[in-house]
Amino acid sequence: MKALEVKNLKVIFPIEGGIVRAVEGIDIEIEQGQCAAIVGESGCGKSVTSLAVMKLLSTPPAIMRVDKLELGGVDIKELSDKQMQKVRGKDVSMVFQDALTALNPVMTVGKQIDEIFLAHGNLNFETAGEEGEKKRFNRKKEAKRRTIEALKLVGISDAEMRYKAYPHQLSGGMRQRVLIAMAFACNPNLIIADEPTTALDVTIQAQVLDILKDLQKKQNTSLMLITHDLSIVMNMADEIYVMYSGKIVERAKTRDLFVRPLHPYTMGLLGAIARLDDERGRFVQIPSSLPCPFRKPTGCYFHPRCQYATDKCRQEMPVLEQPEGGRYVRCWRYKEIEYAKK
Amino acid sequence: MKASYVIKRILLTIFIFFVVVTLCFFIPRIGVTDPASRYYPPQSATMTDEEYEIIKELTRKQYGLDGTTFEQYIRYMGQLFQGDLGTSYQSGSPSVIDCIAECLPWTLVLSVTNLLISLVIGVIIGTMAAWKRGRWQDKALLNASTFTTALPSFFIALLLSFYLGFEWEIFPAYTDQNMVSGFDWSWQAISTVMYNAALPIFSMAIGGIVSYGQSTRNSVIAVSGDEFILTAKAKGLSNNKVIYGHTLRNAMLPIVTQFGMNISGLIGGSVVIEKIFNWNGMGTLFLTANGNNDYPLMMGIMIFMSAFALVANLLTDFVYSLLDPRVTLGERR
Amino acid sequence: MKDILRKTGKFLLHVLQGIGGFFKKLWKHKQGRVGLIIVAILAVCAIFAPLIAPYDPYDVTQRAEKGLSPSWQHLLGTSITTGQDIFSMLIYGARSSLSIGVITGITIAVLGSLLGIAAGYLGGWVDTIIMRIVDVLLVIPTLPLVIVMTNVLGTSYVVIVIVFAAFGWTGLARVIRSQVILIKNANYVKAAEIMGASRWYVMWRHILPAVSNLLIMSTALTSAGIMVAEAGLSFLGLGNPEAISWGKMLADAQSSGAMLFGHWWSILAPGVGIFLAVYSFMRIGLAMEEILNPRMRKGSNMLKVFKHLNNTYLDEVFASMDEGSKLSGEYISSGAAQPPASGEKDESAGS
Repeated sequence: MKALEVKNLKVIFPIEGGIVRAVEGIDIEIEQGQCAAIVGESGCGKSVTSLAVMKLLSTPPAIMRVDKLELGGVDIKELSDKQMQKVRGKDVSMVFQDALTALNPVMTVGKQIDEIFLAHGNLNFETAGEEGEKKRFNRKKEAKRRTIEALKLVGISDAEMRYKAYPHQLSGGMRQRVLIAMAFACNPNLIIADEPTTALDVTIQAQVLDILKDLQKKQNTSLMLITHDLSIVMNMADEIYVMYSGKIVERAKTRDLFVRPLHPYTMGLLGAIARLDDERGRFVQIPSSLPCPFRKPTGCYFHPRCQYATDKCRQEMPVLEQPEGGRYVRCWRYKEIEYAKK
Repeated sequence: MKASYVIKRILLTIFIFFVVVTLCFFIPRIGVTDPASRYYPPQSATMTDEEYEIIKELTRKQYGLDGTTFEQYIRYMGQLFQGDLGTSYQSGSPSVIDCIAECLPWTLVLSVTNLLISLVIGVIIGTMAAWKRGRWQDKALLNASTFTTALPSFFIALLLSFYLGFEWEIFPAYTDQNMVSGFDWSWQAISTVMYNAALPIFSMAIGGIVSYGQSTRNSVIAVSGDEFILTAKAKGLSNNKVIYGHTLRNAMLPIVTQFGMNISGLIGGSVVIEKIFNWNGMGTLFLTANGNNDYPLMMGIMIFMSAFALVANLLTDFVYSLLDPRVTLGERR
Repeated sequence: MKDILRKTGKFLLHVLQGIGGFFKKLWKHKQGRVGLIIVAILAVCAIFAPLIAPYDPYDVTQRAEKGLSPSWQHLLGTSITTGQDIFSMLIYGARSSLSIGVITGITIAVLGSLLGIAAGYLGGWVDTIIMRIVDVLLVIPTLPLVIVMTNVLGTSYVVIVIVFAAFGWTGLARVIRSQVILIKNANYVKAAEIMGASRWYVMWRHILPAVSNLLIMSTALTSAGIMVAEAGLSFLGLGNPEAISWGKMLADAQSSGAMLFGHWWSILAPGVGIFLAVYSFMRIGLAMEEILNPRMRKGSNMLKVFKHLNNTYLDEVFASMDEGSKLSGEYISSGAAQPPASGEKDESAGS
């Protein structure tokens, strides 16, 4: 069973004097228990994709079109917002980038996790609670018990005390753990983590990633990891989608991608990673920056920054080719480039 | 909330009060007239000059005007400490406290009702406008807010009293003075008060409603752009939970500040309106005192208003720090 | 000598250019233009009042019968107490309102910015003293205090301006102070200090330009506020008794029984005068706020944007993204019932 299947997702934002093409037809498939990473520069449409999958993107202002949008085999394309409320938090949940802004500043973190159990845990509470008036009281108590359990699960010490803490009273790493506890609370099928460690120090990053990975393996959850940092997906992801300016330019199993990147953009990204065994004098840069989202170049969007670009690249958008099983690349010249590199 | 903050804040309040009292003591004194010369003109032939001097001195003593200014100041502070604000020049020499006690409830009837109406209706309207951002409801509120801010409340009051009071005779354009003297807490007396208070309250509330509406609208829009609202939605909370539990809860914080500021201006904010409708409140009392050069009364009223404002500010800060855990007392502003 | 002249000339030119640019921006802004036009009309009325007004309201010999209704001789009738021409009084009234509003507004801007910058940048005991003064002034009720001051000092224009300025600077000073503290801690100012820039240099070079826009904006808004306060004061009969002002006209109309006689014009005319003056200054102030701070921009242009989007156009856009330009899939809608967040959020959502 696939935890997530998206076919041909397109999102645009009309603005004054033009249209921002944020996402231009991308396909994502995540098998149950697997971790897929979407990698790309800031502004390439990663976050919009994640919000669109959760159906959290408000339309308007966004306009969205999709062929297929299934969560765990269930079509959520037609679900109304009310029906989506039962799905969000329970079947799919999200870890946001900056935990300080993603948590309500005037509510204790415990209460914020409680809300999920209270919103989704109805059936499970039936047995725990007693009849009549006491039920509501017990529901809250039960939610608190589970929250503390969830906090312990993400490695927060003295969870009972932290339950009463406000977000600003916690450290950055602690806050991110709270967000992760929140996402795993109802044991969902799929968790979308949008740059979960970008706001953290490198040492804390590793801890948080470990927790994320542990929990994912333990609970057999699928993970959609969104990041701009290829180095953190190396140990996390099973499959990597490289996104550029609203399109998937390369998709491969993690090992394949690192060993043998096909798209020049992926090569550039890999060149920018620092390694311990680095013998190059300096990092390889990708020149220039992402094209303006409402005035994209003709042809391949990457051609102004690509050292291999030819006339064909400048005129025609390449198609997503499948050179071998489970690998996709959107480049006219990937074969020649690979040959040239050898 | 730490105890040291609370103590610091209270000490600061006491210090400010001290400065305010000093200012209120010295400013009107620049133009003070001798109450003795006012009530016992020298032409009076019925008494000798010595008798006259004695009476003058006694009168000064009664009004606390004997001795040097510094002595008067020390004495005034001592009296104030015992809760005595001095004696008014009004006929019958009532104490300032009594004058204030008589007028204060009438002002509060106006200003408290006005504040509550403004708050409740304003918040509802503002939230609705935020929902319809950019549509006509929102634009109407925006235009109304610039419009009514530019319309002084006394002009609104004049228009209302002209049309609703004189032309169409729906509400009384002048306050019925019997309302004050014959007030006995009967249902009928209360309804008479509300009937008379309708126009003054309405003319103040128009501006208040729009002002609360506009700030609520801005606050709600700002908060709904915050990321934690997205988190709340991603948790699968129902719309009501998101709106009431997260959006409005956070959007109300600036409104609390505004409300606190309005409370501190509760007594001194209706001077002109009271004059237009001949309403027997603190404003009228102050204007009368000003007209009579009744400086003990003027001083007393200003000190009382300032004390009220100080206590209101203090309470607002306490309440705010309870509502927003990020703020420790005294750090707001 | 020549050098100094050239430098001052250059400086003046710079300032003029700045002001010109400011008006240009304001003119481009729809609301700002409305404000500018009304202010210009009022200013012309105030400056050329003797030429525009049909009668001289100060001249006792030009008084007509008392309490006349509007006619061609007296466009807005005559006042009930004195028989002065109300239309002429209206035009003359612009003088006191505008002059007090603008002069006080500028005085407050100077006072408030100096004290605010001093408090924010110097900090320490200067900050403590200034902020304590602000605390005290904020607590004392303004209108009673102003009434007492005018009672004591008299009601000439100078006194009124001084009194309003003395008690009106607190709000601006606080805003500027917090702004200055923000700038002071900015890295570019710290860098300047590390490189040996003096305090005065930093204030003049970095802090003043940063708060100057804020200053222009708040001057317009405080001027508007002062005009309301001045009208209130003269309505209470505590303004300059010799001058003709809109507030006093209102008070006279009310006390002489204009309402009883149904003379609505004698109430409406000065009221509209006050409204126009205050409204135009507020418009300019708010327009400035929007120009300086696009995030404040009220309402979104989304509706306007959507108007030119029809379904065929959208279909074309979406089809162009598909392989082979065949339109596939279907539109879906999502998002909860929440007010739309501010516009920039949407555009930066791709990060």
